[in-house]
Amino acid sequence: MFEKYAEFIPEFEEFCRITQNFEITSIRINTLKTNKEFIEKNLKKFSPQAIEWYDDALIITKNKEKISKTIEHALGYIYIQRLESMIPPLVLKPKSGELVLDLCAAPGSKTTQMAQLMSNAGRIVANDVKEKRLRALFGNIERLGVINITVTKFDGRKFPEILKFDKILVDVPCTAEGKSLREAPLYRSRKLFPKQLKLLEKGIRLLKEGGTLVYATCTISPIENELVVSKILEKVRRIKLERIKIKGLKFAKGISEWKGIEFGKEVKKCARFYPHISGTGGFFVAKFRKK
Amino acid sequence: MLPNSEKNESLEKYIKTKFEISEEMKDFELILGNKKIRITSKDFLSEAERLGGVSGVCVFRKGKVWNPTSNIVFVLGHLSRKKYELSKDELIKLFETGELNKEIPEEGYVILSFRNFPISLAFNKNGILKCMMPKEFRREILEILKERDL
Repeated sequence: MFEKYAEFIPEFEEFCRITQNFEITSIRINTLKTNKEFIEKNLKKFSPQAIEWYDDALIITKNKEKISKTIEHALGYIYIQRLESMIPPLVLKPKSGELVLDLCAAPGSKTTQMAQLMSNAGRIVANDVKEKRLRALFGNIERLGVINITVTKFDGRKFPEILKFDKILVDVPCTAEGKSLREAPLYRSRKLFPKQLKLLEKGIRLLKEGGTLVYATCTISPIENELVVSKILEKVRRIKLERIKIKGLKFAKGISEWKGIEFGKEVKKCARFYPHISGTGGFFVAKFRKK
Repeated sequence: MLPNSEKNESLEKYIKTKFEISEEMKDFELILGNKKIRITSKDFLSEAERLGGVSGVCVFRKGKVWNPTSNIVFVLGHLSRKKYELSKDELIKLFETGELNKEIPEEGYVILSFRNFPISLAFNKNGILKCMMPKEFRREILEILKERDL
């Protein structure tokens, strides 16, 4: 598995060994309703463990399968969310006074996390194109008690350019190799690439000058990651990549070349998250600023 | 229950006094849509309207009068200082049958709690509590109550 990525995944053998049975169940504490002490006390029998890089996250170490069968979950005091999925909002850092867009929002893990970071104030526009996924988004918004979200239903590539946003999250549909830790055929990455590029391009058009955009995927394939980023840097001159830093979280740099395709040195500012380095599923994040 | 003529401002006052919502929740706005009143953050409305999206969470629905929806429990329950505590057996009975005989000093809509968790909206009349939560949610909680050693 993942042999085609062996040349750029650091300590590839260790990566293969860890991915064999890598499964972490993690929750996010919904600080709009409660606090860490309360949840740690209430969920003692799940032996929750804190992580270094995000105060509101806990890893469930016992009775994992039963965490969704708790009152805390049913009432939205906690949200079951993969660790890597908590990264993009932490990179974007939305604040309460800002206007924020989540272009591919459903089912709403990152959207509701952003609402939490904004203390339920300010404004988030959460967009998704699929009706079924929007229902899940509405359900999560209600359950978690989030009130600063407007839900829209547009194809992200055709999102109306009526407003300009301070911050935008473009968490695109991808082959999700990092989530399932199963390698996807290359043709699928190639098929998704144009859509991902168009979504990112639209996101940049919707961004205010000086605004921040985070592009994220849960896949390892460079076609869906560095290639998209390098193409957008070629295409749009008024944006620049920024370095990513989350205190306590280790990750690898973006790669500048793969299978004869040059991505440029600038993409090294992107972040690649791997199970054996970051303790999360595979993930990719790029942070842009509009000049 | 509220008369039809009372809308946003009085509903805001109703929410705050009826459920004794703490000061943390002062920055919200109630917006009237198609037979629904939704709760949103205060500085939200103009942008939302321009995109034609759905803002906030539905907290009142219009029948003959404006009635609170079960979302009141999820959005405001944790901020409410006026909740009536149920025992495990009482909660199971309420969720299984949809009704419970219990003397509560207040008529009309009330928030019920279990181990201090706001868990249900109910309508109290003549000592009978009528559960206002969706059946799917009730089933979920009943499963949890029966499975977990509380």
